[in-house]
Amino acid sequence: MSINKHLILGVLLCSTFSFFSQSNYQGGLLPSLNFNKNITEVWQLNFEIESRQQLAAGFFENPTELNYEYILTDFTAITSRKVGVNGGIGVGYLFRVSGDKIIQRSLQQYTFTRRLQGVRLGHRIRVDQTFENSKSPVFRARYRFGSEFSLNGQDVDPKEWYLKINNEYLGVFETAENDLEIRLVPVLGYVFTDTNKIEAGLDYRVSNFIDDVSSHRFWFAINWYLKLD
Amino acid sequence: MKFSLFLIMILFIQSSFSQEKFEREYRLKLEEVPQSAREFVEQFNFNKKVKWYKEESDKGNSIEAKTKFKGDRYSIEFETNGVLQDLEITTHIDNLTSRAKSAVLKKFLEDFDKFRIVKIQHQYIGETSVLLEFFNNKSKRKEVTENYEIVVRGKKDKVYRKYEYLFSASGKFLSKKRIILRNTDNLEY
Repeated sequence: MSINKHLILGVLLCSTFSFFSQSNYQGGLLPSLNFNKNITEVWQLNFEIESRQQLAAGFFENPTELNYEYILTDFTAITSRKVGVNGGIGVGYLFRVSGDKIIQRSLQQYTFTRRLQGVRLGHRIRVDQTFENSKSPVFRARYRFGSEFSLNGQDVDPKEWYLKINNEYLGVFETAENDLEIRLVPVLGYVFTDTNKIEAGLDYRVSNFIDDVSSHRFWFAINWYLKLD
Repeated sequence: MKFSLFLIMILFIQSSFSQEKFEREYRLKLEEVPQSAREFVEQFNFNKKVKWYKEESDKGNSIEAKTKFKGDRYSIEFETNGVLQDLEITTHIDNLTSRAKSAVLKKFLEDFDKFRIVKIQHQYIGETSVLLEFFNNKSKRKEVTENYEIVVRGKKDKVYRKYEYLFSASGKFLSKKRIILRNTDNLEY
């Protein structure tokens, strides 16, 4: 390795340490159950329950504190219409229960999937509007790019494993301030049948990194997808 | 009478299902491939790595060798005992003879309101020795059957579907199957 490469690596490592040292973190579990149902050949209904439970939280410079706390449960329903062979436009509604708070969110999305040799790509463009009592509405625009790699063969078939990596960028627009959140979600999945698959892995989210104290969240995600015929 | 109607319905449903294409394939190690299949592929002297797959489909089980050669994707299919089934090379619509091209496009215009060709494979079927000679000498042989396997996305009655068509080298329509699309809910939601 040349001196220049060492120098770049050193600078990168230092910046990473300083990035984390001035930041807070939160970690826990993020299980979800996702049901999908074809209403007609072009119309689809999707329902998801997702729960968030904290196991630890604090600042990186302090010793790790285990701190279990139930955070929230989301109930989301989306109806979508197929556009072309691989695309879909959808509208949905999210109902969030977080302690004694109720949060409601409307959402609109466009999705597009594409198959290449050995990999399937998924694009999702979504905008949502969040409403909570006595708070200003929050508007978000997000783009997610997902890649699903078959670990056996050129396509993910039943009884086969796959690796899925999602990368998402969320622009958050509030009356008081705006923010950008970045998500990276690498998961390992297994297909039982074409209508039943499960995946588990890390759901990493970073936000507030434009300000001084960035916020890092590490969730252990378990997603179960069921398609009802 | 009612029983006959019921029987006809069952047969109709069965035949509609049989028109659907289903495939499942997974990687094979070289030592799992029958020797005759390995020997056949070795004679082509492909300069890129050949990947072997076992394929389970509506047509039955088979073994497939896939590689890229001079910019084209080669797919050589064998029976599970190593007997050659066919050899397919990706191609472009403009490489078809003008007669075949117009016949293919005419068929798609008849079948769909809108369409887009996704993939064309030039299919060669014949005895192992005849196919080898055919590819080595590039000589036309009557014993080699040439077809075009075309994957197309078509819109009909406001709905898009994906199909696999088979045409002869002259453009004569031979068969059509609807492709069952994979469930991609984990990439969409």
